[in-house]
Amino acid sequence: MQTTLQNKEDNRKQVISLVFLICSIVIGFFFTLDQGYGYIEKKDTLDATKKEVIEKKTMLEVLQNTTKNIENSVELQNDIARYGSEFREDAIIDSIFTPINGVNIANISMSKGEKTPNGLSLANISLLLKAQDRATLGNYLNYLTSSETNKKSYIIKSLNFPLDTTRDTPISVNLELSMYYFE
Amino acid sequence: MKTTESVELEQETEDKKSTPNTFFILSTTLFAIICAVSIFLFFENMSLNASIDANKNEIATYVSSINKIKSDKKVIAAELVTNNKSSILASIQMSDAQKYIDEVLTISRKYKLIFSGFSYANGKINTSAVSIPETVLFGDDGVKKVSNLVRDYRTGTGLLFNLSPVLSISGYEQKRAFSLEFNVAGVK
Repeated sequence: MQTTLQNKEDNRKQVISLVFLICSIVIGFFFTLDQGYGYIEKKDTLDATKKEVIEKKTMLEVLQNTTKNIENSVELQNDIARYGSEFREDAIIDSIFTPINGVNIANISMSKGEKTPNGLSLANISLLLKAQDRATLGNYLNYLTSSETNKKSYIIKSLNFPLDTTRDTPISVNLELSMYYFE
Repeated sequence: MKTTESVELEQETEDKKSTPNTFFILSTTLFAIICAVSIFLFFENMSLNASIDANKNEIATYVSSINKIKSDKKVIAAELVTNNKSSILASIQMSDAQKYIDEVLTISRKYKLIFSGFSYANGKINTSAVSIPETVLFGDDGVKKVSNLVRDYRTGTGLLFNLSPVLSISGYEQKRAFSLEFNVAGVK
């Protein structure tokens, strides 16, 4: 009697064990595994979004600082006007046709140029001018490239004139300039 | 006193009893672990989803603020100018033609050569030169000045220009003509 009862109990336990095992396999395969993969994926996504948050935050801070600097720094305002302003013919003409004694500009032609790898564009300006002597030409070239009184700064691309080292006479000069601007 | 047979029988009965028990314990434990892990992952994923959504919202807010600021052209220009100021200044400084004219005049005075014409482009300076000897005595050839100039450029250091090869000289001993091409040092 005892043995029969014991056998029944054992069978019942075996059936329950089997059910648990099957349930474990089914849940494990269809749910836990899926949740596990999802967990790994979400962890990666979370890391990526955290990184992006930091990047965007830093970028925003930099831009906010730049905005503040533009408002407060005269030097930056001058630099923007000098190298990063828009292409404006009137501003170029005002800058180039400055009253310097002994320099007469005959012709000027200008064109917008291509965008450079640094993000700014380079305009082309050609000049034909007459300088009364070499020193005057020198003053004018300095004015174009590095004068504080000039609101623009130009790069001298090419310069041709009939130099004569035996005398210092009036000279006609062909000058090609480049100018950074932002578009 | 138990016989050996009875002991073996008892052992067999014990084994039969313990096998279903072990199986039961193992399967229930496994089930419990699977359930616990599943529940943990489920809630953890929910929490991760919430964090991801929060981060995405934060990014969207930042992007919107960035776009707003970037719509002002001046800010972009300021960024570009600030980031590239040193290279812009270097390119302007490198094109300082006034310095190159002064250097050519210095060379002319130093070697007592007559230069005519000045052309500057892409870091190269071209000019034509005439060399006249100091005296009209026999054997005093203008080519000596040319030779001095070339020697100094071939052996000198720290000069503003590099001299391109001077491969032809024309004329006669009282008047030697040749072309000069200088490359501004540091410009490729």
